[in-house]
Amino acid sequence: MDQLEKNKGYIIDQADVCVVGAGHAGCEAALACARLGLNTIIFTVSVDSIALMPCNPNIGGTSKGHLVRELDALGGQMAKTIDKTFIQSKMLNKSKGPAVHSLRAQADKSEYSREMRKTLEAQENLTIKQAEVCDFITETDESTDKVRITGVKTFTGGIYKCKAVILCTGTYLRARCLCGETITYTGPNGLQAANHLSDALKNLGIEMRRFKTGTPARMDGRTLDYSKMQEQKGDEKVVPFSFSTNPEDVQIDQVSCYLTYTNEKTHEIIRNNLDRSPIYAGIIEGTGPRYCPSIEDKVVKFADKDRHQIFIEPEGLHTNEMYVGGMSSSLPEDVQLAMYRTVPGLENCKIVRNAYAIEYDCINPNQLYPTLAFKNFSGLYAAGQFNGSSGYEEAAAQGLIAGINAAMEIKGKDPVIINRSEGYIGVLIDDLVTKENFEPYRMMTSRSEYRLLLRQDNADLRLSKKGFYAGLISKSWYDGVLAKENGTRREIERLKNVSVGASKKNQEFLESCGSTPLKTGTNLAELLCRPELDYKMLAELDPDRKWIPDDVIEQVEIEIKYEGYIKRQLHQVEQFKKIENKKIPPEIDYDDVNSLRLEARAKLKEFKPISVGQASRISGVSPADISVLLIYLEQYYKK
Amino acid sequence: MMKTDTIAAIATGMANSGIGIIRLSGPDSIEIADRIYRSKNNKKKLMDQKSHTVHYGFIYDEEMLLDEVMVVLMKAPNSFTAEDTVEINCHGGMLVMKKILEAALKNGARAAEPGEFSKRAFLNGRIDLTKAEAVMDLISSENDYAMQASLHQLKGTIYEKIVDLRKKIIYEIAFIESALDDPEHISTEGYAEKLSLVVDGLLKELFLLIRSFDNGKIVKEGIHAVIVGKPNAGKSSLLNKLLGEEKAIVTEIEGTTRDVLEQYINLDGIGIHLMDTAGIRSTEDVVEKIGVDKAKEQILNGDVIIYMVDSSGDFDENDKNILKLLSGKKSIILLNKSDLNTVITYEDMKKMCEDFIDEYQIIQTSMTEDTGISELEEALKEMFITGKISMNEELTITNVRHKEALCLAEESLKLVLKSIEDEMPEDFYSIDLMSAYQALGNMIGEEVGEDLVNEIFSKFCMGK
Repeated sequence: MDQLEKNKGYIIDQADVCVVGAGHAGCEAALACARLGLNTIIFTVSVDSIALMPCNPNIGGTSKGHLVRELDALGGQMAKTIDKTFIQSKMLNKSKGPAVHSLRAQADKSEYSREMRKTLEAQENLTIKQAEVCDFITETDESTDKVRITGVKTFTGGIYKCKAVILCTGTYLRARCLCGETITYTGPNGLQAANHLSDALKNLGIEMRRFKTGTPARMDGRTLDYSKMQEQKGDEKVVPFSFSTNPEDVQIDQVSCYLTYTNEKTHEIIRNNLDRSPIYAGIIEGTGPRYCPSIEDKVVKFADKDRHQIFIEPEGLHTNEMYVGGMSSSLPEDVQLAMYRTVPGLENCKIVRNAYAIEYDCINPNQLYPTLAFKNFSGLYAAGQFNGSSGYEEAAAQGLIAGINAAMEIKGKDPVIINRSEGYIGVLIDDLVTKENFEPYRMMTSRSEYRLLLRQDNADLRLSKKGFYAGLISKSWYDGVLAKENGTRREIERLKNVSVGASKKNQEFLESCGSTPLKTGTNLAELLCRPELDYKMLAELDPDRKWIPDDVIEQVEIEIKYEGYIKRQLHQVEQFKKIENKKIPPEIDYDDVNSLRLEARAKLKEFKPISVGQASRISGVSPADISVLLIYLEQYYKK
Repeated sequence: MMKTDTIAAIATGMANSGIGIIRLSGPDSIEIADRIYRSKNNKKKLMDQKSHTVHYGFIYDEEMLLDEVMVVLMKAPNSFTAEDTVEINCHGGMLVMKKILEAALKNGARAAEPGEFSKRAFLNGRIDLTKAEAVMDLISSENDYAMQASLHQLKGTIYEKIVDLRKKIIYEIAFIESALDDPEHISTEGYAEKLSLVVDGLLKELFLLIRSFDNGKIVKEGIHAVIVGKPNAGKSSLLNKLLGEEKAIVTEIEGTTRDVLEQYINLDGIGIHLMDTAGIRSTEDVVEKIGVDKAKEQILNGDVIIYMVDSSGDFDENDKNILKLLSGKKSIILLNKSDLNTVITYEDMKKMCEDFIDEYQIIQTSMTEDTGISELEEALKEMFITGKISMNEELTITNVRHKEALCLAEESLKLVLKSIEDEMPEDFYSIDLMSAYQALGNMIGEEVGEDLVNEIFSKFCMGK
């Protein structure tokens, strides 16, 4: 209460949950809470920028597409919204294994934003408030001795009391944008930065860091010559992001993207002006992402490459603006113009918005539990770029998990944690809270150990159960998922039991499919393992076949064709689960665990892992330390 | 706590190193240490010292100074085994370590079995075996300490070789992964053929390393000594003599075939596997032929061959055939039955050996009169300690764990080739490439961690 008196605010409202920020993380967090019946307020510095896409105009892509599918299986919103607002869609990596097929859709940015805002506004229990949150209302939790967050205070002095706060501030905290020598103290797109909350967080003792990211220029589409570029069309048959979207509804007229390349001239201009780049001149203090390098970085670090790919992507149907993918930059405006104009098709381009780099405050996510709750506070959650990630999809996935867990806490239910063997979301969050990240974190397929099991096609089978537990997935929908699972299992069993003899008719059929004749009798499952055969082709040899849905056929084919690999991976998962399921009680005193090495002891104290598995992934904790810990825990539980 | 005797062993492994540790564990360990330890003024008794203290001094074998040492005392139950434990830190030469161990054995300790320290720790409740595999791992690598030691023992060249192999593997994984993560920038066309060449090369290198294990394993696991000779040359008697001595018999393993009996003896801390083979002579008998073939195979795999010749009989074609088999092998030739009428003399034997074998020693023995046995033992030990039987300085793998890791990597790489052959998509290659990378990483104590991500970013240009 003394906080309140000190700050002399006035109470405006009371809610269960306050979500700070209405970007991709904030929207998911707020929707999840409100849908779970909690009275929720979402704060934004500008209602007009809800679910803004300030960088690339697409959603999904390799591994990010997986995140969106998983989010959908858990009951999140992003997949549904992009299905309504996409203008082109592609399944990437189609020539590779099913595990790395990844959906990516070009979004109509303003439509996406508008559609999300509509969803928020229509949501029961959810209030939108345009205000800059500047401070927290706190109490000391007597049972745990932790500081409990009991509300937020806005710049104008309004106090909103609540049971939990979810921080989704994105790139707005003490943001500044850099374009060559010019620095503006704003968030993305010239939006107002949030300059007060950082101090409030520091006052609470939260460790802050500074990250940087960048975005390329937007061109006036009328000034580009597409005849000098390669057209990139969408897929003929579009696969929706959401499991609940009717595939027929997404077969729309699509727009094209265009591919062009930088050249030696481009690189020369960049090299000659590096001293004017704020990064190379040392003006930027934040750490930028290696996976999303500016064109300056690409030219310097990969000097042997004589060209880089550039994708020209439309920003929406109702605008001329084109995004220049692959050429983000923080060079000054005049250099930008000269450099862009060396690219075939861009010779006469006019820039609508300059490329810029943006710096912002975020936290070291090691301060969070895998639930995305702060370890040292009660009632405080965090999600999105604020946690040091990057990307709309990464943000949305965290927002959903933070929202669910804030709701679970308020409802007194067990939290929802997805482990590394269950989903990319699990990998994302575990990496954030367990590993030491020194740059904005982007999801990548290579970060997932069990990717053959974590496919985009089976996200519903993997995660609907958790969505149902949380309450975001309806019983009838979940029953449908269970039916798909059972149907798949039954059909695989059946195929294994349908024998195929080496009769003349069968041999002729196989030959007609370009497959080698049989030496001995076999069964349909065995035949399906042949790369050249698929389920539908085998109908001829399968007279008793009953109709089954396409999504079940897809699962049956994958499970049978890749059985050996899947089994190996399942075995790895079993190993993984053995220590992942060994929980570490929160009250454990590591000083009491003899023979831990000093470094390991310090790291374990700092990270407070919730399981032995998580502990084993902390850098500086060796396998020997884990053995010691296991032995200690065994004795601990015996007592 | 169990009532046990006191055991001793060289804790730092059978190889020359900067420092060495002789460890004693058991109720008499401090007393035994006192018998061989002398402080500078010769007044200090370890028995009177506190637990967890370190003492400077010297180790003596009776009146002979062996080495200048630091002795660490850990009293029960506050030691790894939960027993009274003494660790003698000495200079790491094989000979010095061996002499100190010998002195301890002479003064009442028993040579420890492999893994016996960890076994005691477990039996004394110091560690709980029913738990997690991690603990099993701990035990199987003796203990954390020994594991660390074996990590460091990886010779520099091997270490570099493994690092190099891993570098090649991670480069390929990084390429595949970056192509998967950024399919629009990086194409995998024609990659399968390229990768299969790389993997072929890797497999060849792994094969050489794995093969070297068979030479290098001597160091860690003892010498494989094969006893051969014609029937009735006295092979079984020799085996019994060797085993009948007051040496610790650690294990008794039935041979994989009825024709090879394997025994393990511990010659003052150095393990020696003895393989008694069927007598060799050209034969038409099918059953016996199998035995003879086995014997030939044993000779091929043996580290040292003990060839027994009946000096009272004629040197016939069969003997010549055996000699031929010994070419290229380190051999000890026993002219047995020296108590009987000598038909083959030392000089005769020497002449014949010179025609066939490069490295040999001839010892005259008599099983009935018990002569020559200790000379044989000394010869075996000597060969080991002087390094005659041991690894050359080439790349040699000496540790079972290392060999297993190499085999695992080999297996995984073969699966990569299979995936290529089966025309699986590229992402399947990286599954097994990663397993191989991990297996090799375990070998040198490095985990995967962020390696891959770092490699991707440093080698391949990605991103929007």
